[in-house]
Amino acid sequence: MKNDELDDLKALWHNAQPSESTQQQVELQQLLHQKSGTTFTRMRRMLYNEALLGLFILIGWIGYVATHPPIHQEAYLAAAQCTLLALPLIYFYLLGFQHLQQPTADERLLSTLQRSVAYWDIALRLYFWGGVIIYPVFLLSISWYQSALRGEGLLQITENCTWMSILFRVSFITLIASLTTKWLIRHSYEKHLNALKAHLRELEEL
Amino acid sequence: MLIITGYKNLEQASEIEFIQILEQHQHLLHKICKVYAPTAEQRRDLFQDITLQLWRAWPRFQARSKVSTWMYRVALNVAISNLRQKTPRTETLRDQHHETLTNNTENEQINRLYEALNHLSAVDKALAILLLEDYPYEEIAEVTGQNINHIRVKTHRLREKLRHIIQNLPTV
Repeated sequence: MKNDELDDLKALWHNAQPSESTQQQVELQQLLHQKSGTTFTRMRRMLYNEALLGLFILIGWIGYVATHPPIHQEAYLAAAQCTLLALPLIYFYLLGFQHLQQPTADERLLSTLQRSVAYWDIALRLYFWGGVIIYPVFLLSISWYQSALRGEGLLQITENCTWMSILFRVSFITLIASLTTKWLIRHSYEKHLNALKAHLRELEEL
Repeated sequence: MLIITGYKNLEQASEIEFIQILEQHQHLLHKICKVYAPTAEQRRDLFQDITLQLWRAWPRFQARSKVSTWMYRVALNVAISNLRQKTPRTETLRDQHHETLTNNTENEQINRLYEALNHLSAVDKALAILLLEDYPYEEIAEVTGQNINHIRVKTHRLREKLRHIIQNLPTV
């Protein structure tokens, strides 16, 4: 493109009046006090909500155990195990997101993209492993608790099945949990992350 | 000139100052929204997102760069990293049809320019906007974070790409 052609385009651009009407000060002021709808904010909000949902389920679970005393006292071990494993996980999950440095929009485009990609890479890894660990632990603890309610011996876990079958069940649940979490990530966050990575690649490459 | 003493606190004064600047430069944001968002609804959403991010970044703005450069930086960051899901095709077409009708009486060339920009990738759109705004390479490099030589090569290619797109646009 020759310089004079570009100059013509520049002149056009400067003369272009967007079809949107100019907003008054009052309207602009209202915008400042509305909830942010950026993709980042929505994604973060969704992650927080999921963590909070996990916390509420846990509270519900504790409440259920407290109000339904099992015949076999060892069932409390299962409930305690579930709580002790899930609670720190949820805590670290929330803490992780809080401490991850979220990129701000006033940085240079390249660093914003780099930081955004790094941020979501870590956040989604955290999300994945959180899901993979929490689901099996929670489900196994519940099944353990259920068997205790029926009065079956908790600490004789291999009485009715072999270690191999227990291992198989744990592996199966873990596999299902990891596939579910992966599917959730793919359909909720990954597309956006891939788009960011593509933008970054494009900006970096000559 | 803003008289701060008349306001309840500095925060309120800062908000008023920000609104004044925003009002002054909003046409710039509307242009970016028009390039990045295909429908009127998406443009409204994007405008709101950019405004909010500008407001959040406002306390860190230290006037080392021009207000418009700072605004471009924030707006392009938001526009590129905040690409929403694609609008259903029917809606986009309806919207475009509406725009064509309303803009027929306006400048056909401006429409063609926007249409050409629409064929570019998100990153190229950003470079094209800065190029059309007549920003020097140094400032484009400042906004994008790339070095000047890199920008020089990129913008050179972009000019060719833009020329090619404009040449191949169907004439109405």
